[in-house]
Amino acid sequence: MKALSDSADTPTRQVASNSDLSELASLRDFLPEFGVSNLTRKKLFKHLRLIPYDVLVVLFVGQIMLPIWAALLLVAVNVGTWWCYHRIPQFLRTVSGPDGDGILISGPIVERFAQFIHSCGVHHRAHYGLMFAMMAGFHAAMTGQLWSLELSPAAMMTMAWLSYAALFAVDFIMYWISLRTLQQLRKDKLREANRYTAELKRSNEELEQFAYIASHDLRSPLRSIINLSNWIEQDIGKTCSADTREHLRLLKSRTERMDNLLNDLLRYARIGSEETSRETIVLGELAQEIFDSLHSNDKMTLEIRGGETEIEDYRITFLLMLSNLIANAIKHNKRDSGHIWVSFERDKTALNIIVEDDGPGIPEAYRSKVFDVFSTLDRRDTKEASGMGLAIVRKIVLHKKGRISLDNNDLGGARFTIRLPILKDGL
Amino acid sequence: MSELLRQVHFLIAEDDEVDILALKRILIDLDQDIAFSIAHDGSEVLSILRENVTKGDEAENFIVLLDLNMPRMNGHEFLEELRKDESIADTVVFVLSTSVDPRDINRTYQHHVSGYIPKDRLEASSFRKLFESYLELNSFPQRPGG
Repeated sequence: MKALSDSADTPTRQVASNSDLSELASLRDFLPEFGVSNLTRKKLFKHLRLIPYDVLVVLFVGQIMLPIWAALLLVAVNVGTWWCYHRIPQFLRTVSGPDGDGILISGPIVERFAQFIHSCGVHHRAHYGLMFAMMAGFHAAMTGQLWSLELSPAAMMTMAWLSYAALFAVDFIMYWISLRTLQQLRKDKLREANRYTAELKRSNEELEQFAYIASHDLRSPLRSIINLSNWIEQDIGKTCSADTREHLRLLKSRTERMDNLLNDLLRYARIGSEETSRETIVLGELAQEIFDSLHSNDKMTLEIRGGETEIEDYRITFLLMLSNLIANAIKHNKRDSGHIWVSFERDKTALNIIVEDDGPGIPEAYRSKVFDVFSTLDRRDTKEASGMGLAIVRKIVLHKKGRISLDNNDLGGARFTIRLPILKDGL
Repeated sequence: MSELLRQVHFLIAEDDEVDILALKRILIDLDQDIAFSIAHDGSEVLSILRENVTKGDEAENFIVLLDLNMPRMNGHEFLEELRKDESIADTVVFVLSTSVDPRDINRTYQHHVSGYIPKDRLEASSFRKLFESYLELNSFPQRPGG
């Protein structure tokens, strides 16, 4: 299945339901072209093309109606001519030629017409056959003969009705075959889609399980290391050399980094599988909360625009997105003071979020790289960064089928622009 | 206060060396003379408890601090066996585990543990508060003649 957003380059989880597919594919994509003479499945596949279903229904109905019109016409013609034959013999005899066995339409022309019909496909054959039947009926009614057979007008009428019935039967059979083929194709497509979805789901679950086990089992010895280093510090911190003290400090910071990394890894793997429920989130409040909890000194200020904007969604996803973006802005500010702007704007179709700062900005060359897992632009030990923050943000945005882009604003700082489409039943 | 702590014998069921060290440090920090034993898997704990029963009057009040991940017989299996054996089924057990999975938690409570303490919340002062209050208020199962 192709991804729906042009910025989504990882397959997102899609579970196809019956109703999804019936809208999408089955009826519109798998209709056979008409006029195909041999209705085998193989040929149908070759002649697939997109025909709007409604047009097709009109065609089918129109087709069915056509014999009805023809039948009515035939009945009219037969009844009319029969009536004429019985009521106005003189009139008929005048057109049947001087000898009484000449006919309105000459024999050879009728024969030619019959040959032409045999060379057409069943479909056309049926229709031309009807016309021929009409003509033959007319012919026979005029002369009381059908190919040198002595038949009564009543028999003519019966024949005409039979030919109508035959045409109807052929039409119906064609319609029925098309419908069955359509159903079969739809079933196949559904089965294929379900199989793909099941595989995707399974692979996602495996990945999550792997990430969970990896981070869980890695955290256990890490915890031990943290404990031991704490105890060592407690026991000898006062009496050891300055070098040892420095080593201990570095030891603690590295273990802290690893703990953060494992935490983030676990969170990254879990995105999309939270079992919480949706709630109404006031975005400005959330942003302020996050900012207050993140910045410890008064170095940074935050300005929120459109803070009263509300959205109904899983709180944890917005929490992760905003906290990683705001934390990123705080982390990378190298000066004594900095400013962060967060703006929320919602229109009918989408929610737009912009997070920008007046920090050093991100050079164009690195703009796509920053979203990669495990990428940092500063030396790792200066920031204890796991490199996962923006990757998490991107994953969440893609999971919501949105778009995220990065550029530098007028002040040279980084500006992240996120657009999240609002679907009928919420984000 | 530490009088109360001396009335019990802590039985640590844990296989990770560093986690054992952590618990030892907490216990010794609370009281130098605190009584504790260490078992590395479920079956060791069971044998210690059963041996204790044979002591009759001298039997001690054990509080088992149980880790769920142990080799051979893990925490869950141990709890099942414990509650099946009538002579020791009334033992007080507190689970100390890294796991915060609701399934683990619920499963241990199915076997009537006295509490479930995630390891990352464990530290000396709260441990002390918990057990001091517990011992102050609690009565252990009364043994005949004990």
